[in-house]
Amino acid sequence: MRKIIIVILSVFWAVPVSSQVVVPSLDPVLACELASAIAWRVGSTVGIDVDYVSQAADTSDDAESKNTKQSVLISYQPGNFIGELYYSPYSETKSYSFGSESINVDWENDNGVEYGLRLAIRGDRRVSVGIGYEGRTHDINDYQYGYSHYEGSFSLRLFEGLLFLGAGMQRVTENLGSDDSRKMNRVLTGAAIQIGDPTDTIFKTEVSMKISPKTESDNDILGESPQTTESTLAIELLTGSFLFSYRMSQKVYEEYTNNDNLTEINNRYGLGTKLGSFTFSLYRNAWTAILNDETKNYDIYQATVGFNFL
Amino acid sequence: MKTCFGKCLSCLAILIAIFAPAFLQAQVVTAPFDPTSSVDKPAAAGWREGKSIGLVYNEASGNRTVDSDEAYKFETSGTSVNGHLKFSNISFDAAWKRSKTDAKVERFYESRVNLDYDISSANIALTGNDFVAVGLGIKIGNSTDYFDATHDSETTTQTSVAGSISVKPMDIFFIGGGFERVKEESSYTVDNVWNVTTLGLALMLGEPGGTRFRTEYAYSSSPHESSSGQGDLHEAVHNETTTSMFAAELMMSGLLFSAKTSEKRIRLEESVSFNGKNHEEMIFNEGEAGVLWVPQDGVALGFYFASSQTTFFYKDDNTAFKINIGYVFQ
Repeated sequence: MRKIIIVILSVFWAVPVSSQVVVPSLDPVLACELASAIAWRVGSTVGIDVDYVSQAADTSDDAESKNTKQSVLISYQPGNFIGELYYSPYSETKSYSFGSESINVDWENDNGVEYGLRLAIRGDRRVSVGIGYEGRTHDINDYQYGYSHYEGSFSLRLFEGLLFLGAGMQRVTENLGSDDSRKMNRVLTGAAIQIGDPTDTIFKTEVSMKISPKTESDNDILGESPQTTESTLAIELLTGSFLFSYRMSQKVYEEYTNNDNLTEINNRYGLGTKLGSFTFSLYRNAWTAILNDETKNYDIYQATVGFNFL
Repeated sequence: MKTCFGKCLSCLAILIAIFAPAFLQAQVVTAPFDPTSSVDKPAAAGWREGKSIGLVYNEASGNRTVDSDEAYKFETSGTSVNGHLKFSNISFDAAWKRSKTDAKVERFYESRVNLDYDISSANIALTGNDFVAVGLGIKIGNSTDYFDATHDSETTTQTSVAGSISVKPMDIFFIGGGFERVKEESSYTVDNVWNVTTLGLALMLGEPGGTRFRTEYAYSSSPHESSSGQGDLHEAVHNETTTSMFAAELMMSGLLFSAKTSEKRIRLEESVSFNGKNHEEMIFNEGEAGVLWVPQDGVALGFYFASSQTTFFYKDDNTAFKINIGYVFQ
C-alpha cells in the first residue's frame, strides 16, 4: 500500500509551469496553462528555461542540487492567430514517501519528456478562444507513465484591457503499465488585472483556480486519483528594465492518505531584466509539502532567457 | 418476447438507430450560428447568413457495461466537413462526416457495436421575402456494425430524401417541419422503407454583428415498419422511433456559446429479455457544449465537450472532445 502511495503521488507531480491561466506572464519564456491566455501575448518569443532542485539535508546526507528540467518555448503571432509550442525533457521526477512522522521527497531519474501545443485566436482585442494538447511520459519503477490532455478555453478582455476573465476545461488521460487508463475533466478558471504599457511599465496580478475531481481507475497500478484543488496568486511588475514577480500556489490533495490532506505550497520569487528584445530572469521556487503536522521543504531554482520580437 | 443474449439472429432484427451518433442537430427550423455545424433539415439552410466552410475533428472514449460488468472499451475518432454557399435567395449546404470506433473486449456480451460510419448530405433551400424557406435534401449513410459471431462486420446503407419548410411569422419566431423518406439496404436483410416526420419551433433574437440568441426545439417521429425476410435475407425491422432535440446559442461580440441536447427513444415491437428483465425501449441521450470565436469574416475556432449515453440491456457511456475550425466569407 505504501509503495502504491509513492507511485501515485509521483505521477501527480507536474513539471512546474507558470500556471498562467488567464493572461501570460510578463516573462515571455514562461508557458501558459490555458491556450486562450496565449492570445494576450505581446509579439512572438523564443526562449529556454532551466530548473535546478536544491534539497536541504535533514539527515546526515549532504544537501543535493541537480538539474531537473530544461525547456524550449516558441510562440509565434502572425496577426490574430497565435501558436505556442513547448518542449521539455526532464531528468528527475519527484515522489513523496511517508514515514510515521515524516515526509521525504525523493528525486528519481526517470527520463521524462513533456510537450505542448496551444493555438488561440484573438477576436477584436476583446475575446480569445484557444485549443491545446499536452503530453508527458516518464518512467516510474519498471513502467512508463503516460499523460495527455486536450483543452478548450476562452477569455474575455474587459474595460480596455484592465480586467481579464478566463476559463477552460482539460480532458485528461493517464496510463501506467497497462492499457487501462484513468480519465477526468479538469476545470480551470481565473481573473487578472493588468495596468500599464507592456513596452514600458506594467503591473499585473492574477488569481486562478484549478480543480480535478476524484477519479477511480481500472488500472491497479495507477489507482484512484483524489480530488485536487490548486489556487494561485501571481503578482508581476515590469518597470523600466526590471521585472519583479511573486507567485504563491497551494495545491490540496483531499483525503489522500488515512483521510489526511496532502498540501503543497510554492512561493516563487523572481527577478529579471529586459535588455532590448532579450529577457533574463531568475526564480526561486520555495516548495513546502505538508501532511498532518509534518512538513518537508525544498527549493527549485529557475533561470529563463528569451528573445521577444513583434 | 425475444431473448437477445445468445440468440444471434434475434439481434439482427433489432436494427436500432445505426446512425444514432449522428443525429444530434436540432437545426430543423433555423440555421446554427456555428459555421462548423451542419443543418438537419434542408429549409434551415435557407436562414444561413453567408458563405462558410467548417472542419471538425473529434476524439471520444467510453465503455459498455452489462449489469455493472465492463464489456467493451471504446476509442472513437472522427472528422466532419461542411460547407455553405448563398447566392441571393438560394442556399446550398453540404456536409460529410466519418467516424471510426476501436472496440476492445473486456468481457464478451453479444450485442451490436458500431465500428464505422459515414454520412454525406446535400441540401438546397429557397428563401422568400424573409418569411419562408423551402428546401430539399438528400442524405446517404453507411454503417458497419458487429452484431454477432456470424455477422461480425455488416454494412448497412441508408438513403433518405427530405423536404422541409420553415416560416417566420414574426421577426423572432420560426416554425417549421419536414418529411423524410428513408430507405435502408444491407447484405443480410431485405430492404426496408419508412417515413420520418419532424416539427420544430425556434426563437432568434438580435442582428448579425451584435449580441444574438437562438433557441430551437424539434421533435421527430417515425412509425414501426418491417419487411419480411426472403431466401437468405433476414427480416428488416425499423422500430417506432421518437427524437427530441434542443439547442441554444448565445453570441456576444463574436464569442459563441453553444449547447445542444437530444434524446432518441426506440420502442421495440418485441421486448428483449436479459437476466430476467424485459427491455422494451432503447434510449440514446446526447449532449454537447462549446465555445467558438465566430467573426463576421475570417477564421472561426472553437471546441466542444460532448457526452452520450445509451440505455438498453447494456449501458454505453462516452465522452468526447471536438476541435472546430471554420472560415466565414463575407
